Amino acid sequence: METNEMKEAFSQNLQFFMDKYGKDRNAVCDDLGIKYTTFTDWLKGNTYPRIDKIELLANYFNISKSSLIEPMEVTGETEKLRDMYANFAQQAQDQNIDPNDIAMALRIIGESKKQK
Amino acid sequence: MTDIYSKERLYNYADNVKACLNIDFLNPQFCIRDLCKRLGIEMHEWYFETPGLRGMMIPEDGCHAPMIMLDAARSSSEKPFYAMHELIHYLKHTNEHNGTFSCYDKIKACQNPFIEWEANEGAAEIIMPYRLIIPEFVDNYKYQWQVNGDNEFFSVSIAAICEMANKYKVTLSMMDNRINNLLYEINEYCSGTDINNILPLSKRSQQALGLSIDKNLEKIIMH
Repeated sequence: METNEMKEAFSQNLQFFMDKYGKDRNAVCDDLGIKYTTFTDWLKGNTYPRIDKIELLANYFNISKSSLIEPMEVTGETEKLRDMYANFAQQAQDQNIDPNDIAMALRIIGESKKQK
Repeated sequence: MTDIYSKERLYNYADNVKACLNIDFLNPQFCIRDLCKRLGIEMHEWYFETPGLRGMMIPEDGCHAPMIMLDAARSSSEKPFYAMHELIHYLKHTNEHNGTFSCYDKIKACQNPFIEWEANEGAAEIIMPYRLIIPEFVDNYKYQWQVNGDNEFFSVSIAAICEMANKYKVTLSMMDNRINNLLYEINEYCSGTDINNILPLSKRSQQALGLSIDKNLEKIIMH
């Protein structure tokens, strides 16, 4: 994976877990003693954290380090997942679920599958 | 086609669920998160953006575990009930209903009202069992039956509902709804029927049987 792709994947994953646990930048920085500007650079994909910081964040969100590092849907089973996602997304849409909630649910499903 | 249970059968079903999950009948306090974990169900929360959406149940599909998703914005008194509602969907409805359940504060046109009734009533019976709630309520708190012409009223103090809600760790409106939905059974108990001999009847069944209790019964709050 290229460096830029790693930064992008990390920033997307970080944002995902912040959304999931309702944490904003200030809260994470305060809780973990991370400099706000450093954290913002990670979140914007400008820089990539050291492994000890990745571990710190993984422990904070109670997830594996790979959940922060690896891009979603990198398993090579994207096609299979896409069908499953399409079914869920269609059902959710039929049930008037907000697209942002559908996206979040799909990411959680993807995360669960990866851990399985 | 889903087999919709009567209130009596649904309450028996709730008893079976409690027995299977080792929930103490006399002390129905439990951690819903632990229950789900034991059943292999993942629980997730985030701040929903869909107005009125309180929970979702996504059944397993071979690729991922079954999941209950809850609105993180809901209070700690609301979440266990909403999670139990989704758990009833998982235990009772996933075989017949192939897909996701999305549950709102008010039932939407896209939902099956009978299935939602079962999930609500089943969750209520597990968390607030009528054989505990009714004697506790009638024996400990002030209430009054009043008849005014054709109308019959059941008056109860708000403090009583508040205390019961706190005890069972639910919201005031959840306990209020529970009492409302048990008015027929409360009336039976007040008339001297042993709590174990009361036949739980839904409003629909009361109407079908022409029981007068349902005709004009209303609950009013005494301040």
